[in-house]
Amino acid sequence: MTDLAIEAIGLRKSFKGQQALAGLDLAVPQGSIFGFLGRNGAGKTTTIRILMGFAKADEGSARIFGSFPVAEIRRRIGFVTEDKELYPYMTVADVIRFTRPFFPKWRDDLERRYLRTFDLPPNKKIPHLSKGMRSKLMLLLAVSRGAELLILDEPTDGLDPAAIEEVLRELIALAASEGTTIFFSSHQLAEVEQIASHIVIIDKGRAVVTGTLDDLKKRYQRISIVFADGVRDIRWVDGAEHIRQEGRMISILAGRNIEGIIAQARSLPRTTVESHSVTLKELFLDHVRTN
Amino acid sequence: MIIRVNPSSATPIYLQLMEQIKHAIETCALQAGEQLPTMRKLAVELVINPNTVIRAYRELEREGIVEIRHGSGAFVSESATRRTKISLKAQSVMQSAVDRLTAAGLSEDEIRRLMENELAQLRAAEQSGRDK
Amino acid sequence: MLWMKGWYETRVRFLLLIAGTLVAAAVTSSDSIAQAGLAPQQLDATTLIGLSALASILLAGAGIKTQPGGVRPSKGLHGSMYYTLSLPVTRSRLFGVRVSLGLAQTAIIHVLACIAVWLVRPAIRLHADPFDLLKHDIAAFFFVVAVYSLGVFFATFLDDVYQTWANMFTMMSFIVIMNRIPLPRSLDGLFVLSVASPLITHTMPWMMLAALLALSATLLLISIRIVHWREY
Repeated sequence: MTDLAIEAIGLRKSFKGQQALAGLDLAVPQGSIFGFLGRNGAGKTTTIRILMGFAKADEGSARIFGSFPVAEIRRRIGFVTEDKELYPYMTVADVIRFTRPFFPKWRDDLERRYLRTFDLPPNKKIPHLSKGMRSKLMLLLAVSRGAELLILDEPTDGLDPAAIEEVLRELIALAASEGTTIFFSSHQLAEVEQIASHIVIIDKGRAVVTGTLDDLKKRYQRISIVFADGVRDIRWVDGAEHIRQEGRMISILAGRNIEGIIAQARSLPRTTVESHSVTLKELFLDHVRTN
Repeated sequence: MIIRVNPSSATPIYLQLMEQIKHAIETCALQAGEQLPTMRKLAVELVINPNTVIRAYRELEREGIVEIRHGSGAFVSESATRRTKISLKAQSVMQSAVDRLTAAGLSEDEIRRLMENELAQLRAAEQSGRDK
Repeated sequence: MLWMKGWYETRVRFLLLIAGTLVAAAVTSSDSIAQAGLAPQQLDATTLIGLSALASILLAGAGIKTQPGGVRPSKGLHGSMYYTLSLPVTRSRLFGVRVSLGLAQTAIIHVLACIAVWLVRPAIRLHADPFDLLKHDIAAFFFVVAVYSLGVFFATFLDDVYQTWANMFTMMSFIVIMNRIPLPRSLDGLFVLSVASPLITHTMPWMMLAALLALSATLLLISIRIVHWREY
C-alpha cells in the first residue's frame, strides 16, 4: 500500500446535520496527475481540508504516504488553497522568505524559475496582486517546497487561457522530471483532460467514477436506441448506469456489459442501435446531473 | 513532425498520439531509424501527461512500429515501413469503398458515421471478448 | 519565521501602544481625577495598569487566525489561515510562538509604563517607597497577564475585531461582578491594586498573585486544547 500518495477510506463528514462527505474512497497512486472533479458543494474542499489535517473526518481514515496528516507529513506536501489568500501584510518576497525555512528541501532553482516565468513582482504587497497573480505565487510556494505531493485546490482559478497553459506546462515539466504526484481539483474539464492521468468524479460526498482517464474513455459508451414504435418501459440488463429518454430515443451511458446492453436492445422489435464513445464532459454531466 | 492532440475528444490522447505518429510514418514524415521526440519533450510541448506519451510509445512498440532503446529513446522500426506498404494498399481499398458509397448517394457525414459505427462495434466486440 | 509572522502582525499595534503609553504617562493628571480613598500616586499607577491591560488585549493572538498587520481589518485574513495551517509545524508551536511574542510585548509595555510613571510623576517618588512600587508593579503585571490570557482565549475562536470587543465586554462584566459578589478581598485583583495596593499595605498580595496565576494558566490551557480540537 506504500505506492499510494493519498488513500482515503470511507470518509464521512457532516456539518450541522448537513452531510458533506458520505463515505468517500480515494486512492491516488504516486506519480499520477490526479484530477479531482465535482460540482460546487460536492465535497471537494472538505476532502482537501481533511487530507491536510485542518479538519477531522467523522468516520473513515485519510492517509498521506501511509501516515495520518500530521505536521511532519506536511513537509512533503505543496498546497494551494481554494481562495489563494496570503498574508495581506507581506510582499511577494516576504512570503517566500517566510516559507523557505520550513522546508529543508527548498528549491531555489524552482523559486527563481517561477518568479521569472510567472513574472511575479517581488516587492509588491499581496493585496495589490490580482487573483491570477496570487494563484501563480501560491504555485511557486507549493512547488519550491520540494514536495513529493502537490494538493492544489483549483490552481488555475483566475488565470487567463495563456496563463493556464503556462501553469499546466510547468506542472507537466515537474511531473516529468521529478515524478511529483499532483492531486488537483478543477472546474475546467478541458485542462483536466489535458494533463490528468487519473480522475475521480465526486457527487454528494461520494466517488461516482474513478480510474485512469484513458481507460474510462475506452470503457464508457453511450448507446442510443431509437424505437420506431415509440419507447416502451424496459428493464435493462446490468451495466446501464444512466438512462435518459428523449422522444423516441433512449440514451444509455454504460461502463460495462456494453455488449449485453446492445444485444438486449437489438432483441427488441423495430429498434436501431448505435454506440459512441464519450467525452469527459459527457461522463461528468451524466454522473452529477441532479434529477 | 507536427503533432496535435485534442484532449476533449472521446478518443484517449494516447490513441490520438499513436494515430498521428503512424500517420507521420505513412506519409514518410518519419522514416525508419529516425528518433521520436523524448517523452519529456513531447509531454511538455503538447502539455499532456508524461505517462500518456509513455503509453503511446509502449503500444507502438508492441505493434512493432517503434523500438524503445533504453537510455536513448524511441526510434521508428524497420518493420514500420513494411506497414506503410500495407497501409498504401489499404488506402486503395478505402478509396474504392468510398467511391462506391458516394455513387450510391451517401453524403460524407453518413459515410463517416457508418464507418465509426462499424469500428465502435468492433471495439465493443473486442472488449467483451477480453472481459470473458 | 513564525516569530517574523507574529511580529508583522503586531508591530504597528505594538509601536502605537508604546507611543500611547508614553503619552498617557505624560498627560495623566492625578489632581483632576482624584478620588476618595486613593492617593494621587496610586491613581497614577492604577491608570497605567489599565493601559497595559488594554495593550495586552490588543496584542493577544493564538497563532492560527491571521491578524491584520495594521490597525484596520484587511482582506485575506481568513483565507491565509489555511496557508499557515499547511506549514509543517504543529498547532502547539503556532500557538506557543504567538502567545510568547504577545506576552513579551505586553511585558515591555508594562515595564515602560512603570518606568514612565516613576520618571514623570514626582508625587510617586516623594511619597512611595521604591520597593513598594516595585511590588505594586509586579502584582499589576500578574493582573495584566490574566487579561492577556483572556485575550488569547478569545483569539482561539474569534476573529481579530470581535476578539477585542469580547475582551472588553468580559472585562467590564468582570468588574461589575466583582463589585456585586462578596469575594475574599485578597482575591479581588482590582481591589488589591487600588485601595489595598502594596503602596498602602507595604506587603506583597501573595493570595491574589496565586489566584491570578491559576486563572491565567487555566485560560491558556483551555486555549491550547481549543486550538488542537478546533477544525478549520
